[in-house]
Amino acid sequence: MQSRDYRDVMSGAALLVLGCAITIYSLFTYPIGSITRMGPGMFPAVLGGILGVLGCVIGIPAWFRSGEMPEIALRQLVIVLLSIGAFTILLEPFGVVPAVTALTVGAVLADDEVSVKGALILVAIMALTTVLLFQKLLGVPFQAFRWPL
Amino acid sequence: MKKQLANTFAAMATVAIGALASFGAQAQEWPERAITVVVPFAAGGGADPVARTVAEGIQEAFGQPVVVDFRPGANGTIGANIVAQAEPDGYTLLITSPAPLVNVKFGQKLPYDPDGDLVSITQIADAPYLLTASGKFPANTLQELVDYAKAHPGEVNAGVSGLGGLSHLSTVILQEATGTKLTPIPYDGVGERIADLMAGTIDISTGIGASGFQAGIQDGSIKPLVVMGDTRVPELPDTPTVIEAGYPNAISSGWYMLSAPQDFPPELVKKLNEAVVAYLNRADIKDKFIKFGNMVKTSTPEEAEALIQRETTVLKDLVDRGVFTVQ
Amino acid sequence: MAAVSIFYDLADHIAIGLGAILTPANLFYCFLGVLLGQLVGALPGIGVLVAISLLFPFTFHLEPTSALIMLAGIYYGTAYGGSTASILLNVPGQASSAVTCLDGYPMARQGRAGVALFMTTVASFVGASVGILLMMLFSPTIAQNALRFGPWEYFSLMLLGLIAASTMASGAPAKGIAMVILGIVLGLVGIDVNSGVGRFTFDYLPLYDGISLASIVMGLFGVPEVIATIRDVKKESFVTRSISYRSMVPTRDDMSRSWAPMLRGTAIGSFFGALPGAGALVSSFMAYALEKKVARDPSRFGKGAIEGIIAPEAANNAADQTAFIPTMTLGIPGSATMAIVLGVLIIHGVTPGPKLVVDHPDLFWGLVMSFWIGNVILVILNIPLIGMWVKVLSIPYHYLYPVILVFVCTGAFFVENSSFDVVQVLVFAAIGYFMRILGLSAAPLILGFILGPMMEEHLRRALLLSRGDFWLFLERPISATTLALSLAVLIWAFAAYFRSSRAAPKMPAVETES
Repeated sequence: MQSRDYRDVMSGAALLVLGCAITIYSLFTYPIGSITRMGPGMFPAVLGGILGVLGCVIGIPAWFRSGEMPEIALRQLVIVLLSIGAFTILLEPFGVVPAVTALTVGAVLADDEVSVKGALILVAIMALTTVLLFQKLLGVPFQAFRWPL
Repeated sequence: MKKQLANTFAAMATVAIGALASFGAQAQEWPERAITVVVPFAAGGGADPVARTVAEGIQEAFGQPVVVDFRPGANGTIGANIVAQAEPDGYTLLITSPAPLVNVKFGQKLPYDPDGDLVSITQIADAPYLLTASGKFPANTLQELVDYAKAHPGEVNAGVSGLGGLSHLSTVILQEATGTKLTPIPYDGVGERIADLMAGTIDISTGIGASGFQAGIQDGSIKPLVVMGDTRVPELPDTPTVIEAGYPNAISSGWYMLSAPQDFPPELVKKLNEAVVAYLNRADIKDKFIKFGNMVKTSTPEEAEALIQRETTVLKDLVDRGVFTVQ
Repeated sequence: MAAVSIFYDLADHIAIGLGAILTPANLFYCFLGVLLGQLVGALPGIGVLVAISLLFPFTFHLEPTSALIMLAGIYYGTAYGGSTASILLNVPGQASSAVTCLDGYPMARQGRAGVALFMTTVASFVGASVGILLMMLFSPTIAQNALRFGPWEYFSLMLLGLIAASTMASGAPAKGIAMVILGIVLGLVGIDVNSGVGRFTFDYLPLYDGISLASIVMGLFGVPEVIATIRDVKKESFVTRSISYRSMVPTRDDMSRSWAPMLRGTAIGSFFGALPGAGALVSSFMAYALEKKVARDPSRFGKGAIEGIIAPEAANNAADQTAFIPTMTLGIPGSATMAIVLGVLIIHGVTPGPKLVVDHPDLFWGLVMSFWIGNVILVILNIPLIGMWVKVLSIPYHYLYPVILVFVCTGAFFVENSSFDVVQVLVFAAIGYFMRILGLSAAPLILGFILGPMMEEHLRRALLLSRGDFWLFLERPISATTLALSLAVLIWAFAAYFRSSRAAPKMPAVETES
């Protein structure tokens, strides 16, 4: 238990900042129009405003009550996101199979449970599944391997 | 039924052999490996059967597998950009509707120059816009529409697919040619536009070919007014063209073009042009295209370039004069 | 007398339909279609649109009836498969099954995966059956009534949907509403149809088409779950109870709780399916929101309430069937998928529309009868598979989650062959994880994402058509009724909130969320 409900204070603050940003960006970038003939900026500007108000509604009362802050699984979060990042980077220049390999290897590292041998088997299974299931059976047109020129 | 299954397996076998062939190809003159045809729209859309047919034609003529690669997004400009940036080695081609080629879109910065970064090989097909009216709308012909719109300026609601798009452009061209003032009502997809046209929520709408409107035309909830091209369309033999209706400037059509990256070798342009033109002008292929809702129309590379130039000039003029605007 | 003749006609039609479909080839294509649909539906990421567009060229070589039967099979087959991954892994197989995660996954963690899969199969079948019956009996009437929905009616309906959505989240109502609004803003990214201006695109070309639905659903629902579970699994065993075929059998309590949500879900699904543009996705979320509204104890939702999986699954299957009504009888495609189905008909020289039933009775009734056969095949296929699916849960999670991630990422990529779609998964995974930490639910965000842009489009179109006159919203009866209903829901929600906050002045500070 913490003396303040920081979880909701943070949600509220994030929504307030986001809402204000949306409203300000819309007002400065897009025509607003009139109520009867709305421009592209009207809708997002109004929504940003409501979001900001809701941020206050959520955040302010939370300041005055106690609450709990859940733990963040930092290692898992970072590794999983990095693996997906590696997948995206390898995808276009090298093809789907190297990307899948990187993703699988990366994902396995988020946890200590899988042995090297297990990881290799998993990589082989996933590479085969992607090619056989998606390319051969379902006929998704993609390049399994590719060499950037 | 047996024949059907046999066909299916034959089709599957072709694909398999094609895939093998691409590995076994030997060094020789172009093409020595698979050719990719980029289609900048979603698979299953209007461009899909057109592109696949042309791909089959190229495959037949040069004996190499031709892969159709669908790269949809941003009104065709994402796929067109891929081709514009590709090597002009003859292995990357583009089949597209006018959208990414005649593109002076509002606020949209293109990473390529539609004029200089792509080379036209041949026009493939022509699909004139069809002008339709709701069954509940009083006008039955183009002339009646013009008279009505002149008596009620700005009151006629014209459904278009997105402001700044090609169907909006066709509506503006109609407006210019007839001297009327219509109110464009933008729609995202074609479905709701047709539904609102049937219900009489909007008065008129233009669209490529008769395909989307056919159901409504059958039961009278949609009336075809005029074909915005120079020849009548096979599905609607009784509907006159804009030329017959006395408004020759109201021509507007969606066509398909085979293009290649800039600096494409002229001898390959010639080779491809000859092969595709010959293939498309076969009687069976022409019939096939009518089913797709288009008519085969081939051209020389020069004529193809001229078509794009002409349409770009018209569009630029409308934009510069402030007639074709979004607000 | 009229009623009797309807039944004679119906018998005729059934005979025509059965005659058309009971050929070895057509049965084969029907089976192939539903099998592929089931498979594609169960795989996270890859969806019905991808599957149908891939098979589109293949159908050139088939007879129109066979082609249509197969594509339709894929279409409604995915709705059955979609719930499987939602329940077992908390990763939606289909966007329209995302809402099934909310209560399906808690059921699986309580060792009730078998029951959940069994009951969703039953609900799917009931929903689909009612949808097919409606199509057989009232197609022309339904289609004509769907035309009475102009932009005014659509706007009012979307508003009702959004108000219902904001009450969907567990916990404080303000958080739910905030998520709906955030969803709407995300939905606005891309070219604005009404002005041609790109909003929040920052001149980046791939953003002109907006955020990909598949990516946002996978990012918010799929990946954060994986991140959180990798860690949690170490603390507690993932499978708490041994799985036997017995655990598939629903209890008497399950049965008595299920029939009413099944019917309500079916009604909602049938209604939204028949409206072009709304469809299965919206109806599944609406069905869930309604169940939560009518439940005696809404706090059970999100913790494995069987009503929370029954209603949405009945709804999305009913909607998938009734979606064929406007497509076949008016030639109006309600979705991108239906546009492809329509394209297949047109390429074969068949014009969908009011004359289709008269000109091609074998095709129309053959298709309808194939729905029955396909749905029966799906039930037969699914019940024995439950045992196999449940075994997935006994695979250690450290082998399972890399597989989930691969399917999510490749699936997102295959939708449009665009690596930017995977980047979106990455971004929404990060956002989704922090939303989870902060106790903000993803479900209302998704519904806002879908309904918001449609609502704006219809509002602006309505005002454009009525030249700025707001009164038309109240002058049109369907629109006025829907708006009144929205107001009632809003008042009800506030009344309930104030009553509960007065009854329990000390609200628990932390909502428990799975």
